[in-house]
Amino acid sequence: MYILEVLSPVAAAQGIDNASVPARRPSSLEGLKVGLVWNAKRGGLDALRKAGELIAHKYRGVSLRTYEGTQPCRQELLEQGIRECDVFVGSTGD
Amino acid sequence: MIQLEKAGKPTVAIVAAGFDRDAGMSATAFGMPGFRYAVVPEVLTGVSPDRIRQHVADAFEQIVAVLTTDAADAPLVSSTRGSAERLHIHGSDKYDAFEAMNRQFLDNEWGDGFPLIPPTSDKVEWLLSGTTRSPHDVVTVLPPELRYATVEKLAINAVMAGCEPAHLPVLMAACEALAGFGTAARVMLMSTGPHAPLIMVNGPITREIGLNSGRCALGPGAQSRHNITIGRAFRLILMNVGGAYPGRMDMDTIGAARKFSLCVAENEAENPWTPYHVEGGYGPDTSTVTLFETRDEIDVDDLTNFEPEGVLDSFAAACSFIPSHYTANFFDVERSTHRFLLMMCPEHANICAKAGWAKRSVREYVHHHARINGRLALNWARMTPELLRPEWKWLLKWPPWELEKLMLPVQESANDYDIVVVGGPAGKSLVFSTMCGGPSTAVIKDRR
Repeated sequence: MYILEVLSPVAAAQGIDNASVPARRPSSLEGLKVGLVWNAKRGGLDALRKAGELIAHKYRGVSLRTYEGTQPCRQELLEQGIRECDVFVGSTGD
Repeated sequence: MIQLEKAGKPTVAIVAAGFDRDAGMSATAFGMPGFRYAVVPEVLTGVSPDRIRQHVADAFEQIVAVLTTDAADAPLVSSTRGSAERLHIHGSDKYDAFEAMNRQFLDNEWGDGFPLIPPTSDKVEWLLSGTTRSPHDVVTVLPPELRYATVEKLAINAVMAGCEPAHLPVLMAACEALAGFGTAARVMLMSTGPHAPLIMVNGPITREIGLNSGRCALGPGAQSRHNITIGRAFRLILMNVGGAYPGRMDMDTIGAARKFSLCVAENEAENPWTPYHVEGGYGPDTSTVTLFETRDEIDVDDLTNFEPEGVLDSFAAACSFIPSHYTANFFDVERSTHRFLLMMCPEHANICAKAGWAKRSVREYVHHHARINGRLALNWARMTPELLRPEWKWLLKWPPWELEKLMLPVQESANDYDIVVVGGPAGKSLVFSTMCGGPSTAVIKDRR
C-alpha cells in the first residue's frame, strides 16, 4: 500500500469571511416603490416589464421605476436606485 | 443586485434554469450566501418576448415570495487562509496512487482533463523557491468567486501543471494583471461566450526562462514547453483559486481550445518597433505580463503583398469579420471595451516598418479600412434598439438595401487596436477580438 500526500489546490473565498444576511422583507408589496434593474442583456427588459406589470396589477399603490444598467452596473445608478426604491427585481438574461 | 440587498433593499433576481448554481455561487462570492432568486425554465437572451412574458408569469409567485418572505438563515461556512489542506490518496503502489489522485482531482473538478503532477509538499516547496514572497501572502483576490490567491495556492496549481520555480512570479503577475480588469474579469470568466485570457510576456525574463516567441509560439511541442505550462497553470488557477469551474461558474456555450493554455512572449528581437511593454511606459529591462481577453482568433494569411497597404488590408478584412455587436462603435453595452489585438508576424511587421510606417500609422490604416456594411452592423440592434448609441439611431430608419451600401467603421478610433509581434518566418499573423476592460499589464517581480 502506498499513500500519496498532496496539497489541496482550492483557495478560500473572501465572501465567506465577509458574509452578510439578506434584508428583512416587507409582508406585502402594497404601496412600495419597485425598482426594475436591467443588466442590458437581451430579453431581460421584457422579463422585468412583465414582472412590474404583474406586481402593479396585484398590489395597490405600487410605483415602478426602470434602471437600464450595464455589465457590471454603474455605481451611481445603483445608488440612485437605493435612494428611490424600496424593493428590486433584477434580470440577468441568463 | 447583491449591493442592493446589502443596502437593506429586498431584491429578487430572475435567473434561468441551469444558471441557478452560478447565481448562488456568485452571491456567495459577493458575501451574500442567502441571496434568493426566481428561476425561469430557459435562458431569456434567445427566446421571443411573448415566451419571456409567459415564463415570468409562471414564475411570478416565486418573485413575490422572495420579496415578501424572510429567508431561513444561510448556513455559515468556515473559511481559512492558512496552510493548504493535506489530502491522502491510497494506491497499491506509487503509480497506482498517481492515477487515483488524478481520478479524484478530476472528480472534484480540479483538473483540466490532462494528467496532473501530484502537488506534494516537496514539489510545492521547490516551486515556492522561485519567489521571495511568503507562501501565505495574498497576491490578489481572484474572480469570479473572489478567492484568496495566496502564493502557496498559486504554487500548488503551478506544480499540477508541470511548472518550474521561475514560472511562479510570471503567474503572480498574471493574477495581478487580471485584477486590473476590475469587475469585467467576471464577465470574461463566467460568460456564455468563449473568452480566454492570453498571457503575453515581455522583457528579459522571456529569454531567461526560454519562453517561445517565434515559430509555433502558441502551439504544442517542446519549443513551447514553458509557454504551455505557464498557460496551463493559469487556467488551473482560474478554476481552483478563482472558482471559474466549467459548467458551474464558467458558462461557456461551446468552449474554446484557447482556454487550456494561452501564453506567449513577444518576439522583441524581430520586432522593428518598440516592444509592447515599452510602448506602455515600462523600461526595456523590466519584465511584464500583459493579459488580453480573447474571444476568437482569425488567421491573417498574406504571403502575396509586399507593401504595407496590401498587408494591412488583410488585417482590416480580418477585423471586419466579426459579429456586429462586438463592434465598439455602435453599442452602449460594454461601451468602448471592444478592441482588436493585431498579433503580427515579424514579416508583416517588417514590411510596414521598412516602408517607414510606425505603429500609429498601422493602427490608423487598419481602423480606416476595417468596416462592415450598415445592415450587418445593425443586426443586433433590431432586437435591442435601446442599446444602440444615440448617434447611430438614425440608421434604424434606413431600409436594408440602403444600409448595405453604407460602410461603417467597426471601432471607435485607431486607439482600439493593440499591436504585438510574435511568430516565425512566414507571412501569417493572427487577429484576436478582445474586450472586458483589458488589456492589463503587471510587472513581474519578487523573483528569487
